[in-house]
Amino acid sequence: MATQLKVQLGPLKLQNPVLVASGTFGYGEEYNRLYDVSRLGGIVTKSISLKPRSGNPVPRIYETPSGMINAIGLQNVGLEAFIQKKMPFLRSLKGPRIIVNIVGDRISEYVELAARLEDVKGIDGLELNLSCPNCERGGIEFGVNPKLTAEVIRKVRRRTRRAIIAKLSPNVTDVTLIARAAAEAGADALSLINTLLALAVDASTWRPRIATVTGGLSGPAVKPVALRMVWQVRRALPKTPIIGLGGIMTARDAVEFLLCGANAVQLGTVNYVNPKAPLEVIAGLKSYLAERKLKSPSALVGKLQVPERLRGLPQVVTG
Amino acid sequence: MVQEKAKILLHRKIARDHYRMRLKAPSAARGARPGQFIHIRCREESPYDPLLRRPISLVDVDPTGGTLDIVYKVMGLGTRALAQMPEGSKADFIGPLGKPFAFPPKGKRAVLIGGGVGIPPLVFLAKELLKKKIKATAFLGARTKEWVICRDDFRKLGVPVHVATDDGTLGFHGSVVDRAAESGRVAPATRHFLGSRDSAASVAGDLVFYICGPTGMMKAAAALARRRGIPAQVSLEERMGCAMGCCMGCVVEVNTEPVGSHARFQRVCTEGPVFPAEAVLWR
Ligand SMILES: Cc1cc2nc3c(=O)[nH]c(=O)nc-3n(C[C@H](O)[C@H](O)[C@H](O)COP(=O)(O)OP(=O)(O)OC[C@H]3O[C@@H](n4cnc5c(N)ncnc54)[C@H](O)[C@@H]3O)c2cc1C
Ligand SMILES: Cc1cc2nc3c(=O)[nH]c(=O)nc-3n(C[C@H](O)[C@H](O)[C@H](O)COP(=O)(O)O)c2cc1C
Repeated sequence: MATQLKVQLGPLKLQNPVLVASGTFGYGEEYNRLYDVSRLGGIVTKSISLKPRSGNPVPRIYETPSGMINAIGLQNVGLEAFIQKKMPFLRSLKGPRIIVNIVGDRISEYVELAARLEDVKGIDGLELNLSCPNCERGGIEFGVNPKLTAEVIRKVRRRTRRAIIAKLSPNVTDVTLIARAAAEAGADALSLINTLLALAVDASTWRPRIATVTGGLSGPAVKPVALRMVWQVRRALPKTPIIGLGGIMTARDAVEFLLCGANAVQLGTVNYVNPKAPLEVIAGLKSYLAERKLKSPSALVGKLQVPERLRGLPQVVTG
Repeated sequence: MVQEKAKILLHRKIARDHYRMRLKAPSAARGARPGQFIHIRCREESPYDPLLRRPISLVDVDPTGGTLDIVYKVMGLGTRALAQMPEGSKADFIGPLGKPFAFPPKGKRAVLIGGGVGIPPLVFLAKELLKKKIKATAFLGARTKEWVICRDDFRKLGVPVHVATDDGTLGFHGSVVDRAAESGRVAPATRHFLGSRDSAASVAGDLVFYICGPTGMMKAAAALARRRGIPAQVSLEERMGCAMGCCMGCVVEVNTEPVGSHARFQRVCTEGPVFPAEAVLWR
């Protein structure tokens, strides 16, 4: 049998394991001007909130060595405009799975978003952006607290038959606690990681480089952190579908994520750097597998070779 | 719009810290308009530093020869890496990007006010204006003599050039906006371009301002245009991520929508870089 790239991610069948990440690919149309985006495994939309959001003051982005910090403030068109203006294009794409990333200030907003998207055609799954401050709990991120994470997912689960992907924040001491809570609450898959909380300073002016002071770090600089977290979650949850992301630039980077336990990958910041990277990763993955006579990406999943004596390590203890 | 690896046909130093690069890019050259830019990758291999592309305006386009020209100043990491690319090698760019300058109706005169690396897009604009039989005059400013770039490009097109430098090493000593304002008062030859305060209404009606440069300069030039009742377009600069309209990083505040609505911030890469001067909320 020839090498093929199809993967199964919980209930989702993907033509290949390469998706594009929320916030880095707009609503799909933008990059379709450069290449045929129907070849992607999946498209995750920019986070959608119930109401349009105007976002943060500028500067919103700052480049760091091999990375970038962003504090966009979830500027998006809002649910109604998304359904009316952005879904028609996404729905017209036959190849990729369409994942709508949703975000809210309170649990009821996630639930309402899920409920209102339930009748919208052409959506394959919801990705829950849990890296958002919860205004009912003093601004603590949903995704840093296992109880809140579980509660959001449980309540959204009751309102949707669609696949739920919980997108985990890396800004936690033990990501496996959150991952387990999400899986047990009914998430069909986990995606990790979102951006790492970061700060850049201008030593000449004594000012932060980003208007909101802190922002989220992404790009190749975060890849080692992301790989570590994917590996930890894979060890803790051997059966849960995982989408790995954080700093992927090339097919070999994607292979590293699969080896650490990801079943699929998302490409984020690289879209800005090399828009055709998703196609290159798809092609590169195929030849990587073919050269090794491997039939499918699943042959790589979790195959990281770890010394025998380190295999049964206790999980990281939380502080 | 394309993403392509284009052969570098020419790459020369044109002034201290300034380079001109010509790319072989027939399909991008075909539809490119003045005011548009390309997003160019300065280094391709790991460690990806700088990671992001850099936006650079088109200074000239030859649709028949299939070439794009840019002029850039070495500012930091990205442009320094760009300057190392040898002629004959390939540069990865996306473009043409952004909304171009709008042409004025026939009979108007264009006043091009450019500062520093804001000058290059005005060269391409002048060329296209002349094709449409619209007269143009350029007011160019920079910190010092060597940085008043592209003077020859305007001269070759037959566009009169007035220069101002902050240090007085060339032309008028002071800001280019003061130079432009001054021309209406003291220099009879250029009076018809800007008009004096008294005759503003009659003369200004024929003018259109095209402004590109540092923020302070653009703000002053926009204020001058407003005082004289002259329509003005500005080409803005912001740090860019994708330049494709996706990252929402390069936004500016514009007052075309009520403050507080989601359209308050517009993207320099997509709704811009050219905006009507009166829409911009200068900070
Ligand atoms: C639409 C558009 C068109 C442009 N056209 C041209 C052009 O034709 N020719 C040209 O030379 N340049 C042009 N620029 C500016 C050019 O993109 C920047 O000079 C370049 O990105 C600097 O990159 P760098 O890596 O060399 O410098 P960096 O290392 O990124 O920065 C060097 C220094 O400049 C400052 N800086 C850089 N960019 C900005 C910014 N956008 N706002 C505020 N401060 C900044 C940094 O803080 C730092 O102090 C254009 C920009 C835009 C948005
Ligand atoms: C400018 C920018 C905007 C982003 N917006 C969102 C968003 O709206 N929702 C979300 O869940 N993640 C968002 N992300 C995070 C990415 O989806 C991704 O998790 C992160 O950037 C790490 O992957 P990367 O290193 O491949 O970019 C954003 C990232 C960037 C750089």
